[in-house]
Amino acid sequence: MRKPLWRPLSYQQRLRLLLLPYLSGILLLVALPALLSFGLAFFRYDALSPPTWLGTLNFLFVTTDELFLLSVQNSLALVILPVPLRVMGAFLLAILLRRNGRFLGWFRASIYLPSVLPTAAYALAWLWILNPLYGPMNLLLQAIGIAPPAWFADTQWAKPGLLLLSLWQIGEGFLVCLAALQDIPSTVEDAALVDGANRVQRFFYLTLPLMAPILLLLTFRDAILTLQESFTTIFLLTGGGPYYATYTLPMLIYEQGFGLLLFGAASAALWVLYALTGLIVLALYLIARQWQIGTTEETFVL
Amino acid sequence: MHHPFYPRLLWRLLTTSLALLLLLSCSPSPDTISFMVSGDPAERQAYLDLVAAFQKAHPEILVEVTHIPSASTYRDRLSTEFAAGSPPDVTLMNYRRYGAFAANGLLEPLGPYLAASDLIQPDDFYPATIDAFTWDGVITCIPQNISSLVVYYNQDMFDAAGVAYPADDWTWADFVKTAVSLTQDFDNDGTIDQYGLGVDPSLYRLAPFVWQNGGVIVNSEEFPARLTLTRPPSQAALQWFVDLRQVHGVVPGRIEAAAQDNESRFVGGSTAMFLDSRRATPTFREIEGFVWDVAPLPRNQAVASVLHSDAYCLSSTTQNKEAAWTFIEFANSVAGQTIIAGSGRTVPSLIAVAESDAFLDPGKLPARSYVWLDTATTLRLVPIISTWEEIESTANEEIERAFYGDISVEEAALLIDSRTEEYFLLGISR
Repeated sequence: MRKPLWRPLSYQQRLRLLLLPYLSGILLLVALPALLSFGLAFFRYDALSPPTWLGTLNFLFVTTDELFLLSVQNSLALVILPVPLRVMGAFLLAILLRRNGRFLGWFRASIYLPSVLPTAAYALAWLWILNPLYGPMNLLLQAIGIAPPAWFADTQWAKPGLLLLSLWQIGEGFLVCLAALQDIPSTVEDAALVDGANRVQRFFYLTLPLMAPILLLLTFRDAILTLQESFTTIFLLTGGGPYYATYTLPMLIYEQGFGLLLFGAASAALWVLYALTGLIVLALYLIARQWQIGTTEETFVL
Repeated sequence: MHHPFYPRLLWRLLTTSLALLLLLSCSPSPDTISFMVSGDPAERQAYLDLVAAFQKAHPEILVEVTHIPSASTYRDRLSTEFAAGSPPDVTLMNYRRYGAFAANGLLEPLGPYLAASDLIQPDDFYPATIDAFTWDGVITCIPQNISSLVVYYNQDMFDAAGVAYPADDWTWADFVKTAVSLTQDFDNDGTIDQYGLGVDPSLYRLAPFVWQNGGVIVNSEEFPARLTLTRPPSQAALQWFVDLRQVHGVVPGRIEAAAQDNESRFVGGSTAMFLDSRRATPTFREIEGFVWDVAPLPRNQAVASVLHSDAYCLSSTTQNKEAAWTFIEFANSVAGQTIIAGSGRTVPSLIAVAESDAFLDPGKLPARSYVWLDTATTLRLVPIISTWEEIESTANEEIERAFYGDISVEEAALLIDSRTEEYFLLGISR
């Protein structure tokens, strides 16, 4: 037999090879620009003329912007409530729909469906659903005798409006929970049944602790994603309004960068966003460690 | 057992796809120029017609059109493309926006090209439009239109209410009276069924009323350093503007405005008058349910309206400037402007085309298109400064709050002044 020029790769090597495109993508498209933007944060740069050194002035400039604190508050508000709700929702739905049944497959597909839609289309659909006068949501509320809110036209209701539409985008979390639930050995469940544990007990003493690492991971992911990627939705639905009620840090970054062509200041704001993301992840990690979920030797997340 | 996997195969795949990528990204031939515009479908068609006519006259130059549907996206797209260093060769820009690009030397001044042209001369254009696009004393872009704010009105509603059509010299008092009598709650259920007026609460809409009241919107047109809505005549105009909603209730409230914008309301036949520029005409020509027309803005102490004008600009990084200029020149020749005017979109900046049937077409609505030409001598400009976009959008937030009754007019005027100060400092004016 003719010897191949190169030895076939081992399983591990192939796995690494498969990871390579993704890893180089992350390095080239995420890590490198992030690092470059860190450098840029110390310059005045409008992308049109050569950068000039500013030291830390951009950070001062951005953090003293009249809209900065507000944008941080708004960003946090749109993480603190929606993220736990979304993760819990995905988890509970996965528990409800994990068994095989006639219509359960359809239900599972319909839960994943909103996550397949392009963000822009999804946002525009909700703009119609939450139209204060003609949207089906408010017509429904009116029909059952509830005074409907003005949603995106009301500074008080714009954030709840965003929360409402984000609650349906749980497809990925749902899928991960579903897969993880199927990984729980049936022997464990059987043992609990033999011991006479009821449904509620099995949930709290068995499923929840076993799923905790997954839920923690999903929470990390969702928090990071929401902080950065809620931009498209907000940009299309409210433009940060009404009167800055949904003006988040990514909106500020966008306006500094592409509105005023102050890419240095935008980069400084971006690194504030990274720091904020880091703080949230750290806080979550500390909580998790306190509760001993997902951080022990036997579990694999951290 | 796992199947053997040969790196060689992977390597071949990689190189092939790389080669393909290179092949696809080959630069276009030197006589290709890119042209970017924004606008609704009717406008898009007009520009496609223009390009088609140009291709016929100049088959040696290929024009690639990029069309961006929304005007606000268009502006961000422009910034991004210029920042990326590969802007479209020819772009259509509003005079409130080109300053940001001109200030950074991104636009090739077209004055010298125009001076050398056999087809068009500066004197062929309305002076206000040439003035608007003159940066640092040099004509920078070639204006295509001289539009301005006018009152669109639904004739059928005026007839039904027995109200006279707006006269060419109507006053603020006539205007408010007309709007009040056209605001109606037909079934007396407490919800207004028909509004007299639709107007967006913004600085650009407010400006002509400030001028009509003898006020100014900036301290100095030459060296703008702050907005001056706090000055008595300016603030009084703002108060009058806000009263349209707060006192007279002739304009839809915040929730109604959020549910359906003013333009759709007018098209849908639930608003009698609507303030807009010529921009709305192509869309309104598709209205079948009623007859509409235009009237000049009402007058007060002074007669004034605000210029709305766009121009063809040439990027300074363009490789083939001559080819791009040939296109700009054609678009602004009598032939080119006649095509665009035919869509109804523009009030041509070339006096000869504006005064021809291409614009005044008696067979098409609005019947009173002459209103735009009469207004031409009373047009004023908002200041031309690179950060004007931010100044306007910040001011709009406060005007809107006053308009819908969240804050007083005094408070709004003060906030507008203090919140926009920074942008005047950052900005470069011509």
